Amino acid sequence: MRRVSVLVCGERMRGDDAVAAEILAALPATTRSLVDVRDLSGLMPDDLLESTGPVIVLDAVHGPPAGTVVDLPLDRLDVLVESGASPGSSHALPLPMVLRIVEHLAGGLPDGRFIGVAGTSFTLGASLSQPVSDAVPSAAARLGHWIRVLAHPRTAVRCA
Amino acid sequence: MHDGDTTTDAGGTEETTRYAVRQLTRVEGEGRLELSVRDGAVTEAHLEIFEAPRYFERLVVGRDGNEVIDIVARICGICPVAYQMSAVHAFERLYGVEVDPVVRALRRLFYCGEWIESHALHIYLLHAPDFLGYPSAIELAADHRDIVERGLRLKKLGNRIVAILGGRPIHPVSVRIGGFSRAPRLDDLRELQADLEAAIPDAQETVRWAASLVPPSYAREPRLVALRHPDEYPMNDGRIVSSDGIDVAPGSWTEAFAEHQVPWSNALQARARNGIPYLLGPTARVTLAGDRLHPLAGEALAATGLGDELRTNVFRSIVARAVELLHAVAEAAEIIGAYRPPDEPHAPWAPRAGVASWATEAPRGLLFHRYEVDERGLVRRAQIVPPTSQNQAAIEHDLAAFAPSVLELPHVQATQRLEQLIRSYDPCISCATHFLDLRVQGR
Repeated sequence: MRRVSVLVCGERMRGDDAVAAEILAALPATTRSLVDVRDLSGLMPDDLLESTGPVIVLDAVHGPPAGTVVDLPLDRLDVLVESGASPGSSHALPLPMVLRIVEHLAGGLPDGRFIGVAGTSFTLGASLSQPVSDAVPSAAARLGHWIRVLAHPRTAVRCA
Repeated sequence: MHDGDTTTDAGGTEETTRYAVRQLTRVEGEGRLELSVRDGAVTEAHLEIFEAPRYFERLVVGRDGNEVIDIVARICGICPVAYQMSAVHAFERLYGVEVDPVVRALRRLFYCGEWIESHALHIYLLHAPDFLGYPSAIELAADHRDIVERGLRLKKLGNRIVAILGGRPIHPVSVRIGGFSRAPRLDDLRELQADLEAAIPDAQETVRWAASLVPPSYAREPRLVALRHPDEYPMNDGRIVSSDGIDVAPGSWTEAFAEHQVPWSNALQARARNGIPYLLGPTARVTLAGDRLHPLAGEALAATGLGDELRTNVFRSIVARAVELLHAVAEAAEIIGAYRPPDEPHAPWAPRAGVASWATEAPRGLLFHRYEVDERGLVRRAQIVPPTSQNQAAIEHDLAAFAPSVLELPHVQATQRLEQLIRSYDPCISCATHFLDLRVQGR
């Protein structure tokens, strides 16, 4: 079994930007025990370069209708960006740029997924909007699924 | 430029060309640049900060000092230590708290960590691509893997310092009025000391490399403002001084400077009381307090031969930032080398009514906090003046002065040069937009 790193992006005090933390909180304790969690405000290349195993990045998403759950392999985030959407982490180094830098430095990306929920309100002090709150159980189910798959790669091959 | 259009003025006789960079990239936050040009002269230069206002000054009302310290750390994911340091020093000053000298040193170490992290990010991943002709750090990483890896190695050291002292790598939680919630153990720091000492050659090379980057030709003598301390390079302490004679206590920023609203930005701008814009940050600190740099950093700066040009060509700020990176690495190693855990991690204190105000040196420059506090220690009113909002007028001033030299270039090149100028300030737009008064905005 491999340990899975879950990288939790976003600012918890900023409305729907807290969705990554909420998804993690909705994960059953038994699944949570399979992962190492790291809180980040915005993802940086070194966060991925330090990861020795599979990685799941959780973040809010700007663009699609609020509450849309985005679930993509890390190396397919271009699909999200081409659709006009963007992950909500640091503006200084947007997530797609971080991933491309890591690809150049490490010769590829870690095995992993991006799971996000499209937000609508990122106002400081606000709580999650209703569509985002409603989407958290679904996103947490996706997270749980991918943790199990990535932790047991042979299972993933059989399922595919 | 990303966009350019030609409009005719009201009289219909002369043409005004309006240039717009719709979305500034490689800066923290969301902003936009607009220039208006008539007959080859720039008539208006506006750095528009339109990220949603963030009402931290309202959020801290009714909170006590320690709650404020935790809340303001959330203003920025890149410089949370700066917000905590300005706040904690303000409250300690009001409450008459004397901190242990070891705690004082730990707070410098904490700031060193943030400077290393922030400066390495900006030098290597945000600003260097401009000088080397790359659209972003992606292409830089593809062609110069060693350079980007050096930057990431240095940045990681800063992250580790912040994580050890702050309890976590982002939004630290350990700073308390009187000290820290707990002091680090010697063992926590010992390995870090060795890694910092080993990183000094990387930091020295950063200065040499940054000095070799060829900047656009530009010269202007700005008013510079920074803290200056008689014994140390400015971080948490000193007096606010300027290149033209301002000299006030760190809690007395409002005696010399004032904020005001401009219609094109969600961020308040700040100017000196006589209306003159001013420049904060590494350039200002290196110029006004360069004689207090760590000897290794002072030697590295002298070896560049760029002391005067640093002051007048804002594009050279990357060199000043590199010099400070070296300073922070060297000083951090020394602080850890001398560290012995204090008897108590924090001193006792009691609240009292009054005004708590202080300024410290964030990576981007002077960060001023002012809190009106009641007898229970609860905040009644807050004012937070980040460096980017103070630099905004100087940025616009430089844009107006520099833009004529690039207007004949193709749009793409002109845009790249103007963005490079803005990035020279390492603006943190996320920091700068948390204090707009809604009533003013609606008028």
